[in-house]
Amino acid sequence: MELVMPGVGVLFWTCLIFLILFLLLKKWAFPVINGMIKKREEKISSALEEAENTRKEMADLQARNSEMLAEARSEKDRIIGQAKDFKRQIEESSRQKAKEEYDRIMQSARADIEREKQAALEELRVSVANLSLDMAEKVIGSELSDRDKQKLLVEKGLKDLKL
Amino acid sequence: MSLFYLYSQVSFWLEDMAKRLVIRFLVCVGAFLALCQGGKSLPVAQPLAAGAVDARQAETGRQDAAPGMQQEVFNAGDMILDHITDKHSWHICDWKGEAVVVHLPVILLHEGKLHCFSSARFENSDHVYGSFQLRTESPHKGRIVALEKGSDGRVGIAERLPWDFSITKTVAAMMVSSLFLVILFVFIVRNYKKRGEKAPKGIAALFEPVYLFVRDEVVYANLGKEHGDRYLPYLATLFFFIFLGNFLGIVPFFPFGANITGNISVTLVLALLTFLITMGSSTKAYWKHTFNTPGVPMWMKFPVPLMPAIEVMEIFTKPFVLMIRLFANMTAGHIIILGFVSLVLIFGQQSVALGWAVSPLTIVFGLFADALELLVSFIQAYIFTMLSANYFAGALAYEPGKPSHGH
Repeated sequence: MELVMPGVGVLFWTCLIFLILFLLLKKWAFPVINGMIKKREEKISSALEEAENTRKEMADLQARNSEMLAEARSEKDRIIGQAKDFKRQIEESSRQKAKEEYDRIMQSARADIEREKQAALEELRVSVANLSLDMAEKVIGSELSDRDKQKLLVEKGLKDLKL
Repeated sequence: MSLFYLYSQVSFWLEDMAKRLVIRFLVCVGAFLALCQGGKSLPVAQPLAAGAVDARQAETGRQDAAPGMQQEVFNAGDMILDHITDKHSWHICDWKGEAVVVHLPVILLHEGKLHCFSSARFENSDHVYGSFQLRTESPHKGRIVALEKGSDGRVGIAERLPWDFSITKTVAAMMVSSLFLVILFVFIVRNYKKRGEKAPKGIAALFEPVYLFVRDEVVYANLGKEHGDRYLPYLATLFFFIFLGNFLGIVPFFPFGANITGNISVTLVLALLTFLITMGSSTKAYWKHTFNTPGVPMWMKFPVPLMPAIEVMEIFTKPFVLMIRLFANMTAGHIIILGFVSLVLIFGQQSVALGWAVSPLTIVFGLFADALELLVSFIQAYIFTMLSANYFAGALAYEPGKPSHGH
């Protein structure tokens, strides 16, 4: 029975001791401990957040980098393609020009030749007419009265002759 | 090849060990037997030659038990009860036939007057000092009574007991434990202040997981963060007070070892505080829940208020059970440990050899009981705090995320 009978003395002292302990801890201990723990928790969570943000930023940066890389690559391809086209155009146009030039030169050369040929023919014709007239004169032995008329005649004959 | 080598080495080693163990065992047994032969000079309780001993004599002998009076019957029940009940003096040990006792101050309030004196004053044959007597026998056993002359001239026990505000063994142990706690917290707080936001070190590192466990698993889990922060100082103090009281109660040497939390007055105060805080923080919803419990059919409430009666009873049974649980658990733990210790003395009474033979068993069982008590001291502190938090949550009609409403 003694074991389960509360005693007033122990009740009193327990109240006193517990309340003093409670007030001491509440006033001096727990605010410090709670504050420090909370501060640390905040610091840890902010650090984690920061790390997460940094990670995200890094990922963004990487994505942007690869994007830029891809862009640059496509740009390069485009430029190279353009250059190739350009080259082809230049080739084409130069070939064209060369051909034209060649044609032109050939034509003028041909025209020159033709002209020279004509001149030569003319000369030949004149000299042939003169020659034939001289020969005819010699053959006939006498000078034809109207030399110019004869000449015309020969020339006509030569023209008809068509070399 | 190397495996086989390893195997042979190991087997040789094991064989060697086994041989050594056998030899050691034989040596131990030999030493044990030798000790038993010489054991007659050992200060262990001797087998009693004379059979019948007056029980009363045994009891009075127990009060100032000393190995000098070896012709006493060892009564385990009395010894255990003597250890777990409150005392006005603190018996530390027996040294050379003398009991080493710390005499604690006795403070009495009797008929408007305060009497303070050392409990050493009661160390006489009648346990009387002035007009007070420390009872060692049945009416008011273990208490201090006032003596007065009756109408017939004989000195008898006064009707009115003096108010006993003595620093008893429990109170002294509680002071030691609280002082211990305060010193612990001084170191912890200093550590926190010194280390700032860095991780705690040393004693604070040991303390913090426990504190965080109380904060997160007990307080916040029941009360949520908002209410939890208001109740945290009380609940944390409660936890550490109970835990340290339990824990130091099983440390078996002097300034500890008293059955603090196994004292019904202590647990009564703690339960009462929880009850008062519960009542203080009760809300309208709580009283509505008490008198008009939702989800209960009307016939259980209206003509005969069965459910409200049960709920009102529950208001008082909750703290009552809180009180009984801690008291009973801690007292039972002390009884078990002391029971195992008594085993050696009980058997030693039959024969000294038997006492020695039982002692290893006692040590093993006692160790087991001590380890169990270590666990129990934590669990009981946890349960008391947990249930207190739960009752507060009930009074606030606060429901955390889980549907675990206090019932």
